[in-house]
Amino acid sequence: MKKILIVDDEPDVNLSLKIVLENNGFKVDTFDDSLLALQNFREQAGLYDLIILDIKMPKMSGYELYKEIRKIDDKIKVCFFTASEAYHEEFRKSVPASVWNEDCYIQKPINNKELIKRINNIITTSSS
Amino acid sequence: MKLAHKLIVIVIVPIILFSVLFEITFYFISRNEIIERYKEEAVSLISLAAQELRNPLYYLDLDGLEHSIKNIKQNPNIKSVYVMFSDGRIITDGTSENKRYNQTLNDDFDIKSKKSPDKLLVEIGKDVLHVYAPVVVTEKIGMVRADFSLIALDDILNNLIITLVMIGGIISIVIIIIGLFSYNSISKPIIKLRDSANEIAKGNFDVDIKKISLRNDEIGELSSQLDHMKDSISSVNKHLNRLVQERTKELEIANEELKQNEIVLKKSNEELKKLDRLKDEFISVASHELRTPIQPILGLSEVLHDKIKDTKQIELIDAIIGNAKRLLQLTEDILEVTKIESQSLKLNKERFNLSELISTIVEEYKNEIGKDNGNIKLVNSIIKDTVIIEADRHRISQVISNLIDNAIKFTKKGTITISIEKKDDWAIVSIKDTGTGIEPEIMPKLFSKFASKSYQGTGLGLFICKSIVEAHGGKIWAENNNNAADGKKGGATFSFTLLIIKQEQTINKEEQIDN
Repeated sequence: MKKILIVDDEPDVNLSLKIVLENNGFKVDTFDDSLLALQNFREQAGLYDLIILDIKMPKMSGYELYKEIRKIDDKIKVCFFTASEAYHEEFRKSVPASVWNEDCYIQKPINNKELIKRINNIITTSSS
Repeated sequence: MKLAHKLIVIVIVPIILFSVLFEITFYFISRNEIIERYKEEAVSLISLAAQELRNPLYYLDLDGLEHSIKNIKQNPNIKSVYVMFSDGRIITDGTSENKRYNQTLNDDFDIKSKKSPDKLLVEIGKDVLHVYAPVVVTEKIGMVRADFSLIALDDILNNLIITLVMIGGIISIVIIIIGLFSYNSISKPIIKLRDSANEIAKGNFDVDIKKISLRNDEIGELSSQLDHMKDSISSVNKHLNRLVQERTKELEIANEELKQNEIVLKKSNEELKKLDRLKDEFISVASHELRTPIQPILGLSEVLHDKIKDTKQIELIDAIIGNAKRLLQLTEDILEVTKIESQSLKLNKERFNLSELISTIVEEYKNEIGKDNGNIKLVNSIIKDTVIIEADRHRISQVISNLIDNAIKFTKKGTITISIEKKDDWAIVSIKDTGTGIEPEIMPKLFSKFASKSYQGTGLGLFICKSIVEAHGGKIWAENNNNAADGKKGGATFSFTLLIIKQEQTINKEEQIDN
């Protein structure tokens, strides 16, 4: 069973994702605090198949968390899940070039069917 | 020609010429007169002498003749006197050495005058006036001849010439003086008036012609008229100057006000820009924040929808899902409009095959409609050719989806046909439905904001479509299909154009990149 780590500062978003993903056969851990999430990842590194990160978060942003995670594990698949304009040029400019991968940005909100489709796509493609 | 020159030519020169002519005439008349008088005197003198010589000549009394000649010679003008016989032989000239009787005198005196006139005769020689007079005692017994010197006459005539030249000179001087005076009194003031008029014309009113104006003649009148005119012009000029100054001042004030206004405007413009930025930021943040809560609403409602078996409860959940979707759409549309209106709609242009994109979208819709709505048939009549365009793929998808969504909304039952047509350099994408068509009163404002609000949409979709198509340099339009009998129920066709990138151009550009 694939295991997914979700970090979003909105508990309800975490809840809805967790339920939807669990209904579709994933194991899901959620954190609404990015620092706690990082701490957890340090302890549990290697257990997860995919990490879903919100970008705008207090304490530590999704990008910063991504960099910390990469220091621990440079293979783990990471997907950003954001309400920001994923298709907007300004947003692209603000994204660090090393992080940019169109498939790994999911625009909030997304319907469940589409979400599952995207997650499956990301997990099944071989890590690059 | 200057007035002074005219005066000289017209007045002074003729006067001087005339006076010179007059003097010459006068000289000759006077000369004749003087000579005539001299002649008369000489004749009367010699006539008397002839009387006196009668006795001594009759008796050939040489002493008597001598005495008489001496008497005659008392006249200083007489150079010499000869007494002759009637045949012309000279008897004596009164001098003792030339006293002879009936014989020729010395060579100088060998004068046998051919002339022996019976009457008085006057001959004018060189510097000499010869006067012959017969001595008559019952008949002519001899002759007397006296030679009068004309030198004395020359002196008189010379004096006359001197006098006349002097008179002429005086006349000339007088005329010149008169000329100068009239020049001073006519020409000079006129020149002064002319110069003054020039000065006035130049705008210098500091000219004094009061003195000339005091004259009691036409020049005086002219001068006072000019003076009057000068005063009028001067006062008008002053008035105008004052007006100009006033206007200049007013303009300066107005200018200053304008500058102030400009500063105020700049400030308020900056503030407006700031406000605009704040507004943009606000709407951006607001839209962002609105999206987040929709995620759990939609996600959890869909989860519930799958779990609940009771159809009535499913209806309620569907209502929640529908409205959440609508709220999401509205949020997205408002965000789009904000971007369009703040001109921050940026296009991520790339080259792609438009036919392929539309086919993909249509297939997705087909899948969806196939499940939900059996009444609508989606027809993909896209040409198989590749139609390469350079555009923002996401935005173009947005336009196509929006137009298909609209078509579905207004077509309860029927067909929606999506097609691409190539015309010149343009690709024309058409979405044709067999729905209700467009109300004529809506048509003109179809693509403006909230035009179709009453039709259960956000009212922003077509505005966004238009803005995106126009940002790509294309056009968008809608028309009712008139193929049905009543002309209205035939549905509507929405079309938009996009510029096709020619294959050659593509190759060229690629070559350039390679280089």
